[in-house]
Amino acid sequence: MTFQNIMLPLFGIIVMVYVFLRVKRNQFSIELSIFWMLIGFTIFLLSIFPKLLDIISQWVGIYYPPSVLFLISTILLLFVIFRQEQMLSKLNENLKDLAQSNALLEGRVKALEDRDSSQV
Amino acid sequence: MIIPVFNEVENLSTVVDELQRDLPDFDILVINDGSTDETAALLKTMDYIHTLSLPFNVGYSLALKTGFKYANQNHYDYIIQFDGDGQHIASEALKLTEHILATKADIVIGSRFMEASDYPHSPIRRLGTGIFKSLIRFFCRQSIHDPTSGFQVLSRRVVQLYADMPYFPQFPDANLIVDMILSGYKVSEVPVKMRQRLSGKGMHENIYSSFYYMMLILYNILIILVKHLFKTKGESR
Repeated sequence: MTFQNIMLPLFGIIVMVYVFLRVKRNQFSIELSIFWMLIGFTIFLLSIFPKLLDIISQWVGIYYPPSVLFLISTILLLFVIFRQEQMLSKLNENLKDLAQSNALLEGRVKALEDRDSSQV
Repeated sequence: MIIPVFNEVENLSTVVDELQRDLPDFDILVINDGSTDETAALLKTMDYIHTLSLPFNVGYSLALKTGFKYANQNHYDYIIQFDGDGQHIASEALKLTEHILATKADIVIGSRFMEASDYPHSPIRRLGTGIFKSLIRFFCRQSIHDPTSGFQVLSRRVVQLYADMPYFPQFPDANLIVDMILSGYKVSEVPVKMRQRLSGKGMHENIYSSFYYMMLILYNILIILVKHLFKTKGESR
């Protein structure tokens, strides 16, 4: 057993346990946690069966297997960033809507209060 | 009675009229989940119902949760979850409320599949319902025939719990039922009739979204099971 043989699977497990604990303590949404669970699981799987990487690299026709890993992780990271940007822009829009409707409501409440106090 | 709606201008007046006619003693709360059609204008003309309007579309589950918060604030003892698309039949709600009053259950589900019915169900949905059913039977030792039904009556303590639950699930279905049964709440089921939705499309109509929905619920149930496994081992919060 070399260092990598123990550390890498362990790292995968730690990722999964950490994500689970976050979800369990209600600090992370279940929907978003699926992706990170899968990442942890993939690390675990690849570190136990390094041959998988060779198979995938042969399959896509890349001679140097580790570069497949870099390729996949880069694509995944880009995907994650894009998704986050999307969410961020949506949140931003929602926040603006919320601020506006709050201001309008405040205005209506104030108008009602003024009307009530003038009636008394 | 809580009805979350999103773009239901065609069905809403039929649904509300039916509720008014068959259940005159119930308070009706319609939650407009940021509809982009004339739903909001239509709701303004119905002054005999309570309405809440969300400033943008937040999704079914959060709209429902808003209703729970409202029920909590106004101290309702029981609430009925009802769909705004005409699937649920108003007079059937009485069966659920009678049952919950008689048995003091926490959650009563209106079930389409307890008795042989001609309710049309797509093969994928049928498969999903079958899987959820057997999972619940295996892990909770209880038979729930229709775990994805949105026609439910909830008691006050369930409403309180849901209203304050952080990260309330995106699809509050089978996963939530598993969680509630394992947490010791009393869940039971009453057979009801349902219709096809009157017009328009439902939430899980295409194959991709129903597959995503299935996976999400299964994953959700898995997390909940592991969570409860740890609890029984004495590691409680």
